Amino acid sequence: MALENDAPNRASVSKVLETIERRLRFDRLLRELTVGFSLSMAIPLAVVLWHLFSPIQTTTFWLVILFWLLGFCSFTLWRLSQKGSLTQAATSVDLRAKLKDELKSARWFISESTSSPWVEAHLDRAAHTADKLDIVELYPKQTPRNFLVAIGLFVLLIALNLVPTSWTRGWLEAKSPRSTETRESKTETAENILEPSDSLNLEDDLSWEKRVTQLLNNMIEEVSGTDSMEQLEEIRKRLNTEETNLEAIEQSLEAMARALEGVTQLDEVREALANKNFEEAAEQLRELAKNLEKNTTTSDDKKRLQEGLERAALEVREELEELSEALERSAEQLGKNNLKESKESLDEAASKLNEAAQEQAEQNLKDAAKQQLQQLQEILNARREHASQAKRGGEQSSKEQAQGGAGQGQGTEQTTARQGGDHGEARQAGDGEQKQGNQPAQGDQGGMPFDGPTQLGSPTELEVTLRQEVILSQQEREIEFEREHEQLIEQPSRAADSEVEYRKIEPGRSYADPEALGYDSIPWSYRTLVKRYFETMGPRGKHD
Amino acid sequence: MINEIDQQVELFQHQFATVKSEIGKRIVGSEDIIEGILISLIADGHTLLEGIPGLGKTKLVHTLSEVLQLEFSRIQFTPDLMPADIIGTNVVQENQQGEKSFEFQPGPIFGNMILADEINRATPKTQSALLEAMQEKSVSVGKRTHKLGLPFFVLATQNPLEMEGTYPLPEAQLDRFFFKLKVRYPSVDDLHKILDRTTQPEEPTVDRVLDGPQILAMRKTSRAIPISRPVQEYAIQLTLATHPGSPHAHNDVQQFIRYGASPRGAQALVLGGKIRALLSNRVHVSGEDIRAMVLPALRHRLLLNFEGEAEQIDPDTMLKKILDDTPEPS
Repeated sequence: MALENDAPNRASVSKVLETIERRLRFDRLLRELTVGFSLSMAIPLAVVLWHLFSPIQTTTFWLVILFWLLGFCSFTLWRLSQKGSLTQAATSVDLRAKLKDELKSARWFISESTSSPWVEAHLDRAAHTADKLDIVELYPKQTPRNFLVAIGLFVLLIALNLVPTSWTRGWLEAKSPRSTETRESKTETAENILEPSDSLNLEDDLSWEKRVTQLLNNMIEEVSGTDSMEQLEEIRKRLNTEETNLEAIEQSLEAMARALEGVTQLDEVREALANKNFEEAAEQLRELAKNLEKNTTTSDDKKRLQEGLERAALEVREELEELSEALERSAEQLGKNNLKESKESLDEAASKLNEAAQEQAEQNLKDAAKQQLQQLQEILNARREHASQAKRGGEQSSKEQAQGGAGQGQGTEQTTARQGGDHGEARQAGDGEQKQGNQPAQGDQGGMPFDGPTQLGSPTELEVTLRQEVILSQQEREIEFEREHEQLIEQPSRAADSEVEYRKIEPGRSYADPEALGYDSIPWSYRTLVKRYFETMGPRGKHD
Repeated sequence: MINEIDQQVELFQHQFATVKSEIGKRIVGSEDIIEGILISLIADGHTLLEGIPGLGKTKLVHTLSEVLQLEFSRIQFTPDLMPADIIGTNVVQENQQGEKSFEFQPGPIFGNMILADEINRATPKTQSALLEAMQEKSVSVGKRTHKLGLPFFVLATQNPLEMEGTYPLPEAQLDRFFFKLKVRYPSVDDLHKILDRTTQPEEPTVDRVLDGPQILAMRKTSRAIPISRPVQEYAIQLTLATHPGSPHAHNDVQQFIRYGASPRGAQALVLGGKIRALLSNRVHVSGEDIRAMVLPALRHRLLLNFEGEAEQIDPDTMLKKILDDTPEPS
């Protein structure tokens, strides 16, 4: 009956508590989300600041932002799912309105369905109290202080994108990192330089070689070992595929030289061809053409020259087809006594010889480049082996240090400053990729820096010998120390008895200091002693 | 029904206030002591008053006995006091026919309000004579058990200064006191009033305003007050916080306390809280009511260990720390 009578009171109290709970939940959510948003803003702000000074890839940038958004949304959903209880609401309103647990007790009686006249009376009073509550006044709408902080951080995030300085960049326009650009541009430059048809010429051969060497060194410094190996292999393949048939050309020109035997006017040309000096041969051919134009040659000489040119044209193989045609045409015009055209044909033949000489030079340079590439590959392999040895050595060294407790086992950061080869100036090598500072120490060889194209060999026997000498010298010192110890201590000790007299030494403290008896309270230093005394002497369990 | 309850609450408050004001005619100040004694009386407990001589402890009890229409007995505890002097003894009686038989002669314990003055001056054996009476409201002599009249209320006093020739109350005896109230020295204003009243030719008179049945009715009313589980949980946590081995124990308790409050301590918290709630015109017990009862209900139930005694730890300080560090359950 009591339940029926106080049902309106229970409903009234519950309704008020539900209203308060909703209000509390809203305030709590606003506060928690504001705080959560403010704290989580550290992530996008850090990313944006990072991007300002060290650009990061677009994908990475937006992935971080996406994860941040996902995290914040998850946090929001989690907090939204957390509902407060009516008891908490009752406790809160009791505190705010100073109701002395009136609604909290009422809530408990309602939830437990407790019923008695006194409970009914309490619920009646609680319902009246709840009806009089001004919830708006008790829980005024307040903007959390962190809300302004969150807004400020968001504005800062936007503002950072709009900072108009030259060294900044907008996070909405995230691009590929600068290091990737550099690497791609250098690779492109390397391809351009290594393109024989576009960039190579005989006059600049030496500088080209330097540029290739420098380029490869730069590549070794800039890119990782695996990348450089792949690129070097690609260059080597490319050089192999574009190899000219220099051997066939040389054989053809040697045959041409043999065909010119017996022709006096062409002796210099023949000698130059026999010596594979195609430039000289071309020069001599042009000289012959000049003499031919002056018309100082006898008819017999012309006839022998014509025959010699015809034989030479026949001997020249298809690799130098244009040269053969020029020689044949010159012989033909010479037979017609058309000296001018014959001379032009000889000049054309000289030009073809020049081209052959250029091809010869190109092939020589390619061979040199291949040789250098092979050397570089060997160096890189050696470097990689050194690195792996250093790593293994470092691990082994750290294990030994952990066991023996000796040494510090710290890897030394090795920045590869080296002399700049042909440039002759010291140069700081590369960015972080070139650094090997995290490699552990490996004794004498630990973390050896790569030093450009310099060839590195295996450790010399001299070093091994020196180490053995060090070990032997240490052993000798130990033996000598033991010998001295034996002579200084053991032998006299065996020779005579000890002369040191034994004396009774009084301890520095006494257990019953008379001064302690004069204290009103027990001194700190004696409390443990007194406690132990009472524990020992007192009734059993009295002071336990 | 609600109106009846309201009337009961109003009557309770009125009777309490009347007794308090009557006592106040003669006793100056010490309102918290008077309130504590009355709460203890209504809660069916006993009170131990501790204070230096001359603070009016005995006079307060005398005044209370005059205000309450109860049978009053005074026992002055001395070292040579024997248990029989308190509970009574069988004496040989001869009737008119000349037949002799043992007849029980009741001691001063047979009363409604007992003043055990300077209780710590009697031997533990004599002090123990009160144990059964205080808890069971009965006295066993020989093979017979004699019921005591209700209400039965023991008011004991003790002097904390003069420890020579005294016997500290055993733990079992202490635990039977509902409250231990410390009578403090009066303020200057109160001293003026005391001097004004006690140096006149006539002492103020008080009226009997409450009798035994009314006290029992007030007791019944107070016990009907409901208490919610969270508030009761708070009382339990406060009690457990005084136990060194309890997970709720305070750090200082672990260091300085040997034994904590017994379940009687928790009962005292709840019963005292109920009466305090009624006095505050509430029909529910709040955490504040429980907190207000902690010091008088638990201070004599904390037994210090060696460290605590050496450090002269005050149980009140310890309880205040417990109050500060024990949150009220929501």
